[in-house]
This record gives sequence, C-alpha cells and structure tokens, in this order.
Amino acid sequence: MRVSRRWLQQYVDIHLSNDDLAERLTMAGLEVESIDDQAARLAGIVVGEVRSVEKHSNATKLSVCRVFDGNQEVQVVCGAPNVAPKQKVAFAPEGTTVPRNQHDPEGGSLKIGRVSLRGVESAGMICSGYEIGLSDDHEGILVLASQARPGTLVSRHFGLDDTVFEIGVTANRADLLSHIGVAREIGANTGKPLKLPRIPLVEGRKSIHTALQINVEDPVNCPRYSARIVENLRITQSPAWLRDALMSVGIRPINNVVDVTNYVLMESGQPLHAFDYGRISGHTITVRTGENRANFVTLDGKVRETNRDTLLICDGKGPLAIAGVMGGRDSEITEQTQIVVIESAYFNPPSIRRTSKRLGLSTDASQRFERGADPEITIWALDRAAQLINEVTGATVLKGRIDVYPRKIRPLKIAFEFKKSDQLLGVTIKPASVSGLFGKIGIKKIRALKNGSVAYLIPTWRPDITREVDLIEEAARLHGYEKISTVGSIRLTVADKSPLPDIRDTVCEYLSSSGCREIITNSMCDAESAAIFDPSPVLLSNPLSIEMAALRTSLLPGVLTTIKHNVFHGIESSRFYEVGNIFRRKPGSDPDSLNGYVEEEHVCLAIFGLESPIHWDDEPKKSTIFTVKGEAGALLSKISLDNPSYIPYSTPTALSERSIYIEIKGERVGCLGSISKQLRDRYQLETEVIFLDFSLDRLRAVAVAKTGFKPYSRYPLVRRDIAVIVDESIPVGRIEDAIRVVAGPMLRDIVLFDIYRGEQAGAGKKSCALSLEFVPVEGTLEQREILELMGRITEKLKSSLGALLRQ
Amino acid sequence: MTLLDQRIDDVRASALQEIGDSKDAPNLELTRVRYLARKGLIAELFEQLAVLPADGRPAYGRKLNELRQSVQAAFDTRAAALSLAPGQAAPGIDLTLPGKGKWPGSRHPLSRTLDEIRRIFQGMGFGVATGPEIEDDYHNFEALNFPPDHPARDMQDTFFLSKKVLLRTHTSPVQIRIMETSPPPVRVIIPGRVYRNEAISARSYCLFHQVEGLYVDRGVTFAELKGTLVAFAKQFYGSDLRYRFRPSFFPFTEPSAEMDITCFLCKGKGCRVCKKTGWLEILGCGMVDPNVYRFVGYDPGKYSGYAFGMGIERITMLKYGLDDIRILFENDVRFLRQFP
Repeated sequence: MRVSRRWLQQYVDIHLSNDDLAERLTMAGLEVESIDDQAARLAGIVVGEVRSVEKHSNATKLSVCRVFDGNQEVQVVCGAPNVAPKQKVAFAPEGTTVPRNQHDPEGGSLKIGRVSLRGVESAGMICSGYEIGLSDDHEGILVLASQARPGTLVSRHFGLDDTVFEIGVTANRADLLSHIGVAREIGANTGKPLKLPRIPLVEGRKSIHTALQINVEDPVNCPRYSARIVENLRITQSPAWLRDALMSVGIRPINNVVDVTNYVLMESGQPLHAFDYGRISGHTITVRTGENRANFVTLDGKVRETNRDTLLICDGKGPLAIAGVMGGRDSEITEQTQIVVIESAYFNPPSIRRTSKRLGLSTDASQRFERGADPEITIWALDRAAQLINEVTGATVLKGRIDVYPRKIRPLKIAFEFKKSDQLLGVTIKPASVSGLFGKIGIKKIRALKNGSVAYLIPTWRPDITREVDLIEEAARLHGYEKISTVGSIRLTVADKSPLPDIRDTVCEYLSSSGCREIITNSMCDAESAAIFDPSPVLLSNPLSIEMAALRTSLLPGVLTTIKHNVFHGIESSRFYEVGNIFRRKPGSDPDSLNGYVEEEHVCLAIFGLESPIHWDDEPKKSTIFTVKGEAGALLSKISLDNPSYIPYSTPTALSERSIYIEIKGERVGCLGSISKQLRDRYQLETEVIFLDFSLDRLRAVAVAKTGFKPYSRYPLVRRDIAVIVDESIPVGRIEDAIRVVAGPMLRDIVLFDIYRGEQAGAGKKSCALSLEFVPVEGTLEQREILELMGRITEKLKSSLGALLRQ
Repeated sequence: MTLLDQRIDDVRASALQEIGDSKDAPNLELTRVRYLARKGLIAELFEQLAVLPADGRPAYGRKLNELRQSVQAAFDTRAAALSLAPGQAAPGIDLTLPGKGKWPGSRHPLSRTLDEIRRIFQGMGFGVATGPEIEDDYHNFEALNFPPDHPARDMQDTFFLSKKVLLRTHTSPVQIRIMETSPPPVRVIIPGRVYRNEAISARSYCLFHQVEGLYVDRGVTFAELKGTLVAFAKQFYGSDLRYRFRPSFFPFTEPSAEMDITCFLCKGKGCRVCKKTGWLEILGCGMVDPNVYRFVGYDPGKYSGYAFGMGIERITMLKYGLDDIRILFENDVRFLRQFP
C-alpha cells in the first residue's frame, strides 16, 4: 500500500521527519518497505536552458549543447533527437544522481560525472521523463514549459514535495489499506486526533427512489448494498489536485468520475463502482449469483467465465459487474455518460476471494473486500464520493440514497482479562493504560465485568479482532514490543532424550572429510528424468516450468547436473554427494491422500576422474567401481554396520552398466555402479561416473544402537599368506566365503593382495594371493593349530572350487 | 599398555625432542651418545628383552628395532641439516617436492549454517524433529489457522500435487504433527526444505530451507520468547548485537512478531542490503494461537507456548555476503571449495 504524506496530513497532524515516521509505523506493525521522497530523489536537478546545439563532429546521433543552469553555461553531449535551442529542460549537473538509468534493465540510478563522449567533454545530462521518474517516455528529453526559470529545482517546478511510503500491510489488516486507516495509527502513536473530512453534500430535488430500484437476492454474500445517483454530468479529465493525488500512490487517472471513486477508495478503503445509468436496463439493479459457463466482458476487455458461485451485479438484461472484483465493459463510464450510479457495498469476504482466485483477477477492490471491508462505512463513502463529484464536475446529486441492509452487522463485544494478558505477555500493563491504548484506535470500553475483566466494543473496521487473544496482541502492539523485557530466565525444559547423532550427520561428516563435496540441488526435475528412476513419479499440478514438472525420484539428476556444470567449467575430477528426499506415487492410490505418496531420505555420492590428485611419485589412477565400493564399506562401518552383503548385478540397466546391490540383514539398503552411457549422454558427460546411493531411512531401520563394548582378544594376531589357482570364472568372493566358513570366528580379516594371470597360472586360470589374519579367541595360537587350520582351508578350496595351492 | 610400551614411547618422544632441539653438531653428538650408543638408552631397553616371557619377545623386538630406526633416521636428517647452509636441500632427496595430495571435501554453506543454529538451540534444551515435504492442506494450512478462502493463504504461493496434497510451504506443519503425537511439554527445532511457487530470481528460489522452533508448556510468555531468541542471536551474531521485535502477522501465532538485527554491513547506517533501513529481518515468531491448540487437542487454558521460524538461505546469504540465492543451488566447485 502506497501512502502519501501530503494526503495523510489531511487527517492527522504529522510533525515527524520522514525517517522518524517510518520508524514509528514499522514498530507499530506497519512495515515501511521504502520511502520515496520526491524532492530528495531529484536533489540538484534543475531547470536548464539550452543555449546552442551543434552536431558532434565524431558521432552522427550525438549533439553538443551549451546549457545554462542558472549560474553558468556548461557543455553537454546529448543523444536525444528532440533537443533544440531555447528549450527549457530538466538538467542534471555533474555530481547529481538521476533516479533511473534508462540503460539499466533493473532501473537503477545513475551518478552524473564529467565524461568524454567520443572525444568531447560532457559535464551533465539533459534528462528524459523516464530518467526523473515523471513518465515512461525515454525516447527523447523532457521539454519543460518555456516560462520555467533556469536554476529552479525541477522538484519545485513540478511541486513535487511529497513523500510516498510503501507499507507492507499484513494479510489480517483490511483497515490499513486506506489513508484514513494509516492516519488513525499515526494518531494513536503520536497522540494526535484523527480528523475526518467534513462532507458538505448538496442534494438536488429529484429523488433516487423513482430513478432506480435495487434487489439483493443473495443477502448472505451481499449483506449491504448502497447507492446514489449523480446527473447532469460532463465526463472530462480531473483537476490537477485529484490527478496528482492518485498518481502519487500509483493510480492512473482516467476521468473525473472514476478518479473520484478511486480517490475515496484510497482515502477510506471502501471500494466504489460507478455505472453508466443509461446502460442499466430497466433501471433495476439485482445482486445475485451467476449461471454456470456464462461469459462476461470485464472493464479490461477480457472475457471472464462466471459460474453459480460468482456474485454478480445485474440489470434487467444481464450482468453489469462481477461484484467486488471488476466492472463490465458495457456499463463503464464514457465521454457520453450523463448520469451515474455509484455503488458502495459490503460483500462477504470468502465469496469475493473465491471469485478473484478462480478468475486469477486481483484488483484494488477485491483485495479490500476479501480481507473484510467495513460494513458501516458504505454510506459515508457514498456521500463523500457524491460530494466530490459535485465539487469536481458541478453535477447534481439526486436526493437520498438507496441502502439495502436487511440485517445490521453489529460490532463485536469482547471480554478482556488483564491477568491473562499479563501472563501471556510476561509484562504487566495497567488496566487504565490498556483502555487508553485501545481508545486511540477506536476500541471502546463498554463496562467492567464481575471477574475483573472489561468488555470492549470492537469497531467494524477491525474484522481481524474476534477473540480475547487478538485484543492481547493489540495491547502488546500499542504498548510497544520493545517494552516487554527479555530479562529473566529461559527455562531449560527437556522434553525428550536427544536422538542425535543421527545417521545423516555421521554420513555427512564422513563424506565431507573423505574428499567429497556436499551439494544441495533442486528437488524438482522434468517428468522424463523422473521416470528414468521410477515408473510412477510425483507430478506437480501447477509447476513453474516443464523442467520442474515432477519431484525427483533419485538424487542422481541433481548430482549429474552438478557434474555437468563443473566439467563444463574445467573440473576434471571430483566427488559430490547430496543428502535429500526422493519421492514417488503409489500406483493406483488416492492422489488426495498422503498415503498415496512415498518420501524417502537418501544419500547419493558420485565420483569421476582421478582417485587422488596427481603426484610426481605415483601413476595417476582413475576412480573405479572399487573406489566407490571401498567408500561404501567405510561409510557403513562408520555407522557400525559391519557386515554388508554386496550382490553383483551385471545386467546393464538404463541407470548403470554394472551395479552392486548392498544388503544388510537381508534388507536392500543401497546400490552402487557405473552410470550407463545412455544416462551420461543425457548430461553430455564423456567421463565415467561411479555412483553410490543409500536409503538413509532404510539404514536407520537396520541400524542398531551401540550398547557397550565387546571384549576383544588380548593375544597377538597371526598372519598367513596363501595363493590359490582357480578357474577365471570363479569370483574371488566365493573363495573368501569358502575360507570364512572353514576358519570360523578366529579369522579376523582376509586381504586380497594380488591377482596373477599368465603362464604360471595356466590358460583360463587366475592365481589369487590372500593374506589371512587370525586372532585367537583364547590363548596363544600354536604353530600346530595354524597348520591344521590352513590344511582344512586348502582342502575346502580344492573340493568346492577346484582350487590348486600355488607353491 | 605395558610398562615397556610406555617406556618405548617415552624414549622415542624425548629422543626426537632433543634431536630437534640440538642447535649444532657437538650438541647433536651428545644426544646421539645418550640414545644410540652401545651403552645408550635404547641399548638398555634391548637388554630388558631377556627378562620377558618367550612369546612376548618377538613383538617387543620388532618395536625396539623400529624405535632404534626412527631415532637414527631423525638423527641423520638433523645431522644433514646442521652440516648444511640454511635453505639448501639435503643431498639425495629434494624436500621441496610436493607432498601427496588428497581431494578436499567440503560442507555446503547451508548445512554449516543449519549445524550452527542447531548447536545453539540444542544447548538451550531443544530437541530436533523432522517431517514430510509432501503435506496435506490440513497440516500445512488449516490446522495452522489459515481458514479456507482467507487472504493469508496468499502469503505463501503453493505447489499442488492434487486438490488436497501439496509441497509444504513452511516447516510449521511439523509443529502440528508433533503436538498431535506428543503431549506437552514440547521443545523442539524443526529444520527442513520448503517450497514456494515463485519465479526464480536472484532474491527468490522455488525452494528453500527453514528452521522452525516450538516450545509449549505451562506459563510460557512472550517475554521468554524474546529472551530465547535474543540469546540465540547473540550466540550466532555476537553479543554486541542490537535487535528489535516489531509486530507482524502469522495466522498460527498471536501476538506475532518479526525480529530484526542491526545490519552488520553498514552497522545500521543504511545500505543496499538492508534496503536503507539499517535493519535486517532474520526471523518471524509469536505465541502459538489458541486455535492451533484446538486442532491438536491441547488445552489452551492450561498451556501456552511460542513458535519461531527462520530461513536458512537468507541467514547464510547475509552471513557470507551472497547477493544471488541461485549460487547456493548451482554447486560450482569454485564456490563450494570456500567452505572446507
């Protein structure tokens, strides 16, 4: 909401500086988002006189001008086609700042310095209307009236001494969408009374009742409908004061009647509408709901579809306006209009909101009605508009008004318990002080109640105050939040055992200290990418774009996009990981129930390029699937999950060429693999990418809380090496499994330290060298026991895998 | 650890220390004699092997050899260094060669900010809870006192998945989920990802992260809310911080407030970042609205409480001086490496 200081001053005396006023408003909950001080904005920009114009010797579109600024003549290079001698112009001398730079797409300001343009010095700028914020014209310079005096400030020349405050009005406060509402708050804050304008309305002799009939068929959605008629009109441009007032708050002047209705809207917050009486068929207005799939053309020329929920203002033939939202093109005020009907109504907020939402049409009127206008102000606003139209145009106001208000909306009465308020706020505000504060914003004390509470009457312009707690907030707000002390104890309630550290924290900590970079990416992606990883992705009903039409079904799209971005910027090796949720639909389930959606937290790591940075003493080694398999094992052991099963899956999928599923206690918790060519092509990646993906939710399910420690053997470990020759087709995993079965609990670890293929192993064979580490459970291991155990192991390898012991 | 182990460690530590401290060759020679000579401290330790049980000897033999080698190596290196002019390389090995590198990892700045916020609130007795990103209208709006057809719903542009299911627009629905399942007192913070259907620009992204706080108990006051948040802000931003609470509106709190702190870029003078106000808004807060208690079955006559919420992106951007939110989701290595 834009409010003008000059306008506010009609209703309340303001003796504060702009900054102080903004500060007070902000601290009262009316957050001032910006202050536009017109005079300050144009500081130093003066009326200049163009004394001469010559062509620039080195640029066809530029001219070299001599400009008199009231003091001296200055040389200025100007690019405008319309510059000419003797013109009076807005001149920004060296050192001043022009509010808008027309070459800046964001409309930033431009500081004027002494520059050389194609070899000619320029010490100032002749401004366009756009540059000084007076119009949108930036084709040429703004030419001022010939009587303007060089050296006069441009702000003074135009009478621009107003300040406009942009206030962020919260969604509960309808009353602040008006100058009177804001003035009331300023008055409450500064102790000055609110001065409402007097309405010296002069009525004609002819009565409105013979000229117009109003039927309200839907009194629920239209509790009050008031109207007046003004005749003998001549529709013209409004006088300057009216146009300036509207422009200062960002409203485009249209004609004298519409401008008055907008003025009263901005003054009082009550939306008004003017109909051309001549276009009202049967001279009857009916307020009713519409019919399904009917079309209606609004003021802006667009065709809108109405339905049975749309409240309409109709005449004998059909709709004239969409109630509370926008008028119709066919009954709008034109130059031919001689008689107007001014509507001032109170509509039911939810009805207006539904229509405005459905039509995607939010107007000054709908914004006020949907927050809740003041049902008691309709007549005041109507009279004010009639009086102003009469003043501005000399037209005649018909005698009387029509006011359909079958059930008066009574102001609420709320009991306020001071003790309760003090308890909630943690501060004591004296009852007399509360009543005083309330009185300043029109909340009247009715009487004291028996239990020490007081009943207050809530004015109808504050529909947001409906409960005692709303009054407590007003008390705190008017008393001042800053006066509520922060001194005192913060209690240390412990509601539950802290569950930390969570697996998520441990995983992030591990990966970030193992050379992996954490990334955070968008959880929305295109539907096609989502379908790669899951056949039933979650689709958005109202996505921002096609690229974000679905929720991610895997963290890979984000990770691969990150790799693509960084490869493009010259990175050759990196490790990225992300922790986040992935989503899918349960096929065939109800889309309106949360049960139809699955959400799971995952971690995804992707590695590409070299395993470690290039070093002069090492051969560069590329990361392989085994690099990632190693990370997987280390990560799992970090969260005390020590015995994962790795299940190789060699069939290529859309996702990967080779993969390994990771299971713990029979539950699949993750997988790793090499990204398929097909998927890499989608991200234009030539380099091999290895990924690892765990479901953190499933890891949490299988994880066991650490309790105590396990006693460990006190005896030294014994290491024995063994080399076996097996068929190439036998996986090393099977050799290891066979050894584990025989060796039992004494075997602590198996380390594969070499694989040899060649003559000595024989064709189609490989030789695997393994180092076995034994730890005796009890007592020192005797040489004899080890020999016997190794014998059983070789025997088993021979019998089940056909392995030969290599000597 | 046995006595002998302890002794080995002690000898190693003192030998390396003395070798390192030797300023010249004669001094170093004295040290060598003390440790490495035939009657030196290390030789003495070898003599103790004889009194050990047989099965322990090989292990200790290995340890002592290792000790002798490491002390000898340190001596050799030091001796070479002392015999050379400063700055010259040792013969045979160029110690200016680079060491073996490792890929540096990093933590995303948003995670760092969240960790810091979490640490502070955990210190004040808050637990940590999370909730789903896919929510229903009931938890995201209705139970938080956003009536249907109320303009407060426009405060948060929503992505819908169906008529009643949506992507949560704030972490506040988790407040409802917690109060639905546990009786008071509750004292938690709730971090999480939230979504807004807003055009992507330097200032806003279609998703961001929040930390929500909730404390409900008997006799919780607005003053205590202020005290808690001031304590947080002082730990996060420094104890010389200036702050203010100003009235605001959220449907699920009454009274509601926004907390501002002095702009740390301009120290309150007014700059581009604080939009010339000298203040930066860092969070929204308020006393839980009694209507919310009715939805979750708490007795508003018995309990009161506060809630607050802050945007992690905003706080991170202010902290590091970022002026474009999109940089946080681009994950350029040149950006990430600044957060080791």
